Amino acid sequence: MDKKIFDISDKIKKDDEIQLVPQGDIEPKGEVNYWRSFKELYRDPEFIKAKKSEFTKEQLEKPDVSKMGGLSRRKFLALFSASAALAAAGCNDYRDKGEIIPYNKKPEEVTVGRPNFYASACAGCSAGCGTLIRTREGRPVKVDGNPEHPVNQGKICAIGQASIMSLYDPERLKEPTVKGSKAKWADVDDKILADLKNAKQIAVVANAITSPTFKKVMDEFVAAYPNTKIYSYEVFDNSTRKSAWQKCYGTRNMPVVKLEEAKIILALESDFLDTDEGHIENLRKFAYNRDVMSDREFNRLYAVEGAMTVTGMNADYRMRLKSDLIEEFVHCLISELLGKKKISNYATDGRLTPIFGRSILDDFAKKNNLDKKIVENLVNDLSKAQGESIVIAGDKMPESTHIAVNFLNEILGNTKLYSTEAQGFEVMALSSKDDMNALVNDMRSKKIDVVIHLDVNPAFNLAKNYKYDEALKNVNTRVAFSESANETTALCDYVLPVHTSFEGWGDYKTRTGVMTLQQPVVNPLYNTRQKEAVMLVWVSGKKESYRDTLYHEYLMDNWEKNVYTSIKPSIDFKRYWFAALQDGFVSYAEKPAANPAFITETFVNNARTNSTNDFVLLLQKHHSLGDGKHANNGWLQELPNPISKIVWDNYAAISIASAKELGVKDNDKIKITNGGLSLEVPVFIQAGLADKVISIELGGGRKTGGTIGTGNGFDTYSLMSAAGTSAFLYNNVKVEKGSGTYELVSTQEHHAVDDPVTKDIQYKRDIIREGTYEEYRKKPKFLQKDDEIHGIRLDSFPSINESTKEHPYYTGVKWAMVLDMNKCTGCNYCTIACNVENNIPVVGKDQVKVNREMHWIRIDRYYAGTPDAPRANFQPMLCQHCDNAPCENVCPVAATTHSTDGINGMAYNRCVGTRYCANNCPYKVRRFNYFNWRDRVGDGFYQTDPMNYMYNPEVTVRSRGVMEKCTFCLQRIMDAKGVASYEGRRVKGSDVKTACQEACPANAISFGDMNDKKSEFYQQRMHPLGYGVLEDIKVKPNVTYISKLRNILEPLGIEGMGEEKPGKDEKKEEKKH
Amino acid sequence: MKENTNSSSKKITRKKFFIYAGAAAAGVYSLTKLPFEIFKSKVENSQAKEVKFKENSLAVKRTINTKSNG
Repeated sequence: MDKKIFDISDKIKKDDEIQLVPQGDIEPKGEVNYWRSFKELYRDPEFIKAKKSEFTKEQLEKPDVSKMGGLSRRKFLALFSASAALAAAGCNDYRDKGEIIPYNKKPEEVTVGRPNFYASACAGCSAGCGTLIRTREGRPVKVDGNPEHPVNQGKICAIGQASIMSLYDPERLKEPTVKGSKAKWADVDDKILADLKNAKQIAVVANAITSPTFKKVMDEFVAAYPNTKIYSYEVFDNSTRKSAWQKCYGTRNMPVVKLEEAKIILALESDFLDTDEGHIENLRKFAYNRDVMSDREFNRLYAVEGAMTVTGMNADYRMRLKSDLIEEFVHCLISELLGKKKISNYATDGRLTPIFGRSILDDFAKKNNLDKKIVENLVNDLSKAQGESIVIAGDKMPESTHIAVNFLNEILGNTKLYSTEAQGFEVMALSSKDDMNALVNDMRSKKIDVVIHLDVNPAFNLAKNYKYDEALKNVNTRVAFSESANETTALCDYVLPVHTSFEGWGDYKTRTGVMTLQQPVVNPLYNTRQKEAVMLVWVSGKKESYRDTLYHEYLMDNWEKNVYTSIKPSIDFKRYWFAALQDGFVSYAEKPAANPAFITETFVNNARTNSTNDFVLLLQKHHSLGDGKHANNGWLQELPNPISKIVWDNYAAISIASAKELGVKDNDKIKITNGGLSLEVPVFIQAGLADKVISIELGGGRKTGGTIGTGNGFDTYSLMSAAGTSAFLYNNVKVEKGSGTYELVSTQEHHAVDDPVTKDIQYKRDIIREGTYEEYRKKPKFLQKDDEIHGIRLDSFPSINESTKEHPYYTGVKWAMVLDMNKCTGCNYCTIACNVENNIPVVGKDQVKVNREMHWIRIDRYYAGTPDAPRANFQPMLCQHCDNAPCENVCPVAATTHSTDGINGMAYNRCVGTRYCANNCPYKVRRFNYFNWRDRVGDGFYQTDPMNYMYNPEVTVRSRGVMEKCTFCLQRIMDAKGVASYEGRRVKGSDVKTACQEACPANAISFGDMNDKKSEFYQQRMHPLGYGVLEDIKVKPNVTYISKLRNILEPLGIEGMGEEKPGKDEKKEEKKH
Repeated sequence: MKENTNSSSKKITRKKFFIYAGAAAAGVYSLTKLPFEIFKSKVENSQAKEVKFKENSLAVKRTINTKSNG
């Protein structure tokens, strides 16, 4: 063996030589430097030192014996005797629990050991997504999207998936209370009915009412008590977009955008792929044109934004621009396209001519340091793709911006992408700002006698300058329906527990032609009632009218009289009803009204939002907690933010320049003053953020959020006022350095796989492979690596285990996975799905801080480029089930072994917790149970009944001292094998879907049999863009990554990626000659 | 007539007895009444044993092929 081949010491930089790199030379020409944090980018010595160790200092710390309390011989013996005596006493009366048998009387609908599936609807927000709920022996254990549902097509967000934990939350309200004391429903009904009859004015506060049947209940309630007013509000209400639409087109019903037909997409401060309304559907449609397995052309996404969003991070071109300048940018685009390029008949409209002169794109781009080349590309693309492009402004933007964007789409002819088949549907319009003001004023002036909260929490999530909590105290009868205690129930006399969506009936209509049904999959766990049924009792005025089936009957009746008769199906109602429940929705022909013409006057008279030189405050929807309602859900708290990777907290993201200006670093608090409102929030310096922009998520800082949900993060609703350009955008904010610090915990530097210690072949390990779409089209194999990497011949490099180089025993099914990085947007929904399926514990912020999070699949986020204009890559990382798995070789007790179908398995009861496997895993995907997390977190919160019933019975619940990791959802594979065996056939690759695969809204994950050469999965795995992470160390990973393609016009300029050089085959040919 | 020469020491024993008895009573009271976390989970869950899981008989289950869903 030629020794020289392996002498690579000169190619590896020694740590001592690594110096802080000045910002200008971050990415030397022809090279790419991937980084996850500024510490890594600037080679912080502490970071380098920390990366050298497999475990952190805190993880390895041994208890200091000298600091422990002494235990004398006498004490020891006394305690020993006492415990022995107690144990003996405790065992004295050990009850005979009898034989364990599943059922004395087996319920007809349950087959022991087999799951049941029910189609239903998610009530996590007002979107009303269709769900498919899996139950085991009566217990719901998993929620996924309903695959047949026309809108969400089998996918739901993190809140929907984690909602299962809310059902089993031991802190749910269990029975009605009156002024804190337990009460009977009948007594409550008596008292409230009396109060309702005597009330001069009644207020009902609700979230968006999207259920036609519930709307009917409310109509009947108003008829029974005519002095009632209904106030419905949503924190994230999309109201500016809707009001702009109404002004532009005269209707509030907006058409569905055919995003899948858009070749060019321009996102303006829009996170349409993650937190904006309809993002599940958007993700699917966006990823549809990012599929390397199809001939469809890639779409091109431009993003212009002040904050850093998931959408921006997935854009082909991204420009950072202060958020209050976005509208001006739109006007510049309109002037350029209409005034200069005259692309539409609107160019001759005299009313518009004076507007063109005001906004010059070149000047604007120069003034705001926008990349001239990108701006040119954008204008050219929009001009060329008329009728095939779409411009989307974010939900946070003011009405005037949406009006300008509507006009821009109009002149570009993009209205062709507005569907004529489907429109958004509003069952009941939301209350306006003025309505909410009137409510608070009426409460304050004691005009309102009864206020009923329908599972809402205005005391927490209504803009704080309404001072709702103070006003509420002036109402005589305060009623709150709620699933769990919150800031509003704390202020109410009557607290009435309601069913969760797993226990109650309902229907939803958010789009024309589709109605979704919600059915109870489990009987109510506690003495709760359906809020609609209680309202019906109050409508009737007779408490005796209540029965458990009341709302079920009402819903059926409404469907029979209204839905069934309008659809006129050919079958009788009962069959129709049961079929609808089985499907979970009904889809019918309901032609929406034609899209009306644009009202030009609206744009002409549109008052522009002016920019300022002050800081801009952008309040964002919390990626996983939404408006904060789901704060007591530990899975959601511990799900890393896709951008910052911060867990358990919200924070103020600012740019490097802004941090310098304020003289702050990470974790330092800044004081933000918005009018008369102020708050101190810790800082996280975020790459890619525009200067003078502060981006903060709402939903943190709950004060009555339960054991898990209370005290995490900051109540940023206290910065929300009615004085912004929208409810979420404020551009006259004062910011100064605050007092003290607050520690934020981010996972962005955890589990590094490009660790210098393991860099045994070359410094750059090609963990991320990316190129341009153009290069791919010219030469599909352009990213394939030669046998030689950095002068080292891989085929002569010894494998870790030569004897298993050939695997003759993999003759049958061999399981493998493909992850398409062109589709993955880093949303993390796969992580939450894996958590639910595989009983992944919550560990708490303090333990995440020391790298002890337990997620089996994580999304590694790599930046490249400069901190101001980074290019982001998302890479899901999970156990690669390597053929030559290095973890298996080092396990002293053979607890981790390989199966004949290629699975790297774990025998938990054999594991003794040496952690050698984790140490030897190049991908850092093994997780060790340092504690019994269920006992440790929240003082036993996760092992308190009924939480114990939540866990998937097919997956072992691991305890302290055991190593764990992804199993490729082995339980699903075994189940599929059982079914195949029962059917007398061999299991196929397509028989199994992993939990992460099912959850991925972009369909970025594929799973199957790599030996089935006829399958689509095999073709995908063999795709020229496929590669294995760290494949050069020859562990033979079974997860294939599809290289990222950027649909940009310029080459990326990365050495070895996409440059013109002879390919592998061509080189061999050359050698022959 | 016999003199009680040991009365003072008996008094001390009695005093001690009352002190210990009082302390024990206070200890038992504290353990049972005061919210000591060692004997009690923070999570209030008085009704845990009553939780019963039963599929709702009015719901309509799906007759789908479950082989791909575990």
